[in-house]
Amino acid sequence: MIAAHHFYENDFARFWITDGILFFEYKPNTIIDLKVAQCVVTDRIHFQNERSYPILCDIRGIVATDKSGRDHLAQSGSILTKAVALIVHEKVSLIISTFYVEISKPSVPTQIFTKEDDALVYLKRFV
Amino acid sequence: MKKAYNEERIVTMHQMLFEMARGNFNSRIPLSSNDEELETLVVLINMVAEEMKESIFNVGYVNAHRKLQFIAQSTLVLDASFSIKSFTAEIAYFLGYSESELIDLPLAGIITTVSLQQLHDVLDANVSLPTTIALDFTPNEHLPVSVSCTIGRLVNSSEIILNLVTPARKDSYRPLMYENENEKYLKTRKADALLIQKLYDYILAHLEEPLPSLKVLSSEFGTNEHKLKDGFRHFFKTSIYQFYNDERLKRAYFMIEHTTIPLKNISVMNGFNDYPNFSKSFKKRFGFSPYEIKRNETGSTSILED
Repeated sequence: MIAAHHFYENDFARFWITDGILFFEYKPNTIIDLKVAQCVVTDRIHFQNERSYPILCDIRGIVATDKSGRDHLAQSGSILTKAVALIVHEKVSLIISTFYVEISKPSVPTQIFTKEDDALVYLKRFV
Repeated sequence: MKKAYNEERIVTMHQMLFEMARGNFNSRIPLSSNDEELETLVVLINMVAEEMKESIFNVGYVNAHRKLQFIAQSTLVLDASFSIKSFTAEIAYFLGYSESELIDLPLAGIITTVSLQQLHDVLDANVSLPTTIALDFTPNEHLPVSVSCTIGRLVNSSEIILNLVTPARKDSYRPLMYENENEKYLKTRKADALLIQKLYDYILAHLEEPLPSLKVLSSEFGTNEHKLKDGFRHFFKTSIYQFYNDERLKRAYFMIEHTTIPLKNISVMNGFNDYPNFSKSFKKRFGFSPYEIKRNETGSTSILED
């Protein structure tokens, strides 16, 4: 059951906290540019109320990214984050997320998963 | 149906890669909504181009089409106390100092402390000379450059000779400490790079003609004389005319060495209107006259009669 006051939504994503993990889900057809990246990071940080969490990030709604967006997420997107598990299911989102991990070099431990269960196992270590 | 589509995709990928090889990182392959292996390549290539555009080309690198821009065999002559007594002129350019600044300068002023010590160690160990050692030079306002040098002694002299091949500097990196001061400057340079690249390519493609005046060139390239002159010097550390002259002389040298075309014809083919002018320029640049070069007698190029 998701408590109402632990749920947030903006134009690009939804997020909520359960069992010490922040669940983050991008909306369909999202393109990550700098503006979008700034928006989601800012809102997420406010939502977390100065507490740090491991993040399960469902990026299946992302269709494209640009460099400024990726770089912003890798740097500022790691603030108040203990670790990140990215959920993908398509070849294209896999290549984008791999590129993000390898090249944009996020500042916190980040791994890519196709199944939410595996991702949760990974993140539980950081709770 | 699908095969044709894939082939089209591959063609656009080839085009994109060729553009990148030319130094153009601004193009992008249009995305499609397919999720196939090919699409992952398209997405990946686009992302790589984005990265390279910002990272490598941030300070206005221009593609000189060659890996080594020029190779010059350079020499430094040091006295017994390792002060610079003399050198071939291009070393001054390589090190970013004037000739007068280099004369009598201790070697310690142009190489790192570690390198100086290594040099001393080699000479103290009485290793048979000439011997080769990699020395880290510290050019003025540029990153240290490691250059392989041959140390030798001249017969009947206490002088030490350092022979090296001076690498051409592309200035594709600037130390972080310059970043804030020059940021505005750098951003303009990035826009200029494409223009200067075009000019550079134009000159290389027209070495057989006289170089148009700066006024004509700036009109051709849609900019002002100052921007063209200044921009070219920024990227290539030489004036437009000097570059043009140098390149045509180098091309003439190559032709003299590798063909049996009469010298007079070679001079005309490289944009020189009269032979004495060519000969004089040639001797000034290379230190000897065109006719002194050993020519390739067995070359397969046909002889062009005047």
